[in-house]
Amino acid sequence: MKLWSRQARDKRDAALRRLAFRMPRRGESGFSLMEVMVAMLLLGILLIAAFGGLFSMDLCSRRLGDYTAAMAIVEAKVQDLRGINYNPPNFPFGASTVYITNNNSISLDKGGAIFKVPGTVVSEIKPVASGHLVTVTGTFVEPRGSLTANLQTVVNQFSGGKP
Amino acid sequence: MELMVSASVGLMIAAGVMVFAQFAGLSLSGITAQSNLALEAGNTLEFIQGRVRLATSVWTDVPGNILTLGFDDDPAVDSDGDGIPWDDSDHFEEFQFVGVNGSTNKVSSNSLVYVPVVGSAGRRTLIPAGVHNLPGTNIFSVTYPAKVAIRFGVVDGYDRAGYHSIDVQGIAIPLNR
Repeated sequence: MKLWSRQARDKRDAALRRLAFRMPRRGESGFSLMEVMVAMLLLGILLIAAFGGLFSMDLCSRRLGDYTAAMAIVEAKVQDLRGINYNPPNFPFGASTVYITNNNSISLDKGGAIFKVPGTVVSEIKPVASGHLVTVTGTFVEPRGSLTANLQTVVNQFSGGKP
Repeated sequence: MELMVSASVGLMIAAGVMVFAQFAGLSLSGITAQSNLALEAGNTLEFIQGRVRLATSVWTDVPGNILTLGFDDDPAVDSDGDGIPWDDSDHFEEFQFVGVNGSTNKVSSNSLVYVPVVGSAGRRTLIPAGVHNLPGTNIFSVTYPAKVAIRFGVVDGYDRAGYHSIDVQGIAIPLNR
């Protein structure tokens, strides 16, 4: 009988200890205000970093779109020059280096009427042994820095430009 | 008291996580959409330029919605009898802008399709939605001496992920003309 009552008391004490672990008494344990503030500060820094990462990815994807548009314009100018009748030293395939500058814009706005990013496309046409070396450089001024796309090709009588 | 404070802090954290998750989802959706638009527009432009370079004849309809290309199927056979065997137009291909013309972003149903053989039922959709003109220009235009200008924009129709679009302007020269 005594044994049974001791076992019951031990069991009750163990249950009380578990309860005491779950619900600490005032002043014995728990988080202080300082700990909570530090934890929230760390969480805030983490959130700001994560938001910053997302914004950065968004900007990069938009820049990729602008870069694709810029590259299309530069490629268009290369094709345009390749399509011209190759008859040196007539313009633009002269005896000395010729520069042609064109203005272009990319990144149409939400209204579908105005291009937001202006730029210039400079074509350098330089005589070389095998014909003329054409270097087309497009520079577009974005709000967060300029964007440059560049292509090069050699144009000669075999390039496809016909009268 | 402690329970209420901890519950409040927990709720604030949960709300923050939910807002962040929503923002992150929309943001990632927009990023993916923008990357996809750049890929679609760039690949389509390259594909059209590739076909135009091999064409023997090119022309467009008046509104500039359909670009038709002629191809010589056998460069050894002079089909049109002009003495040049490689410049015939034995079969025709088309690039068609399907939808409403206009420089606007309200174009969710506009698409760009490729017809490999004019007259047959087969067609391939290059850009399924969001295609539109650029201001003051046709999508396809041909100028002397057979220079093809291709200009179009593509808009992502999902507005909640932010406004994402791309515009491309290309030129292609048919080398077999």
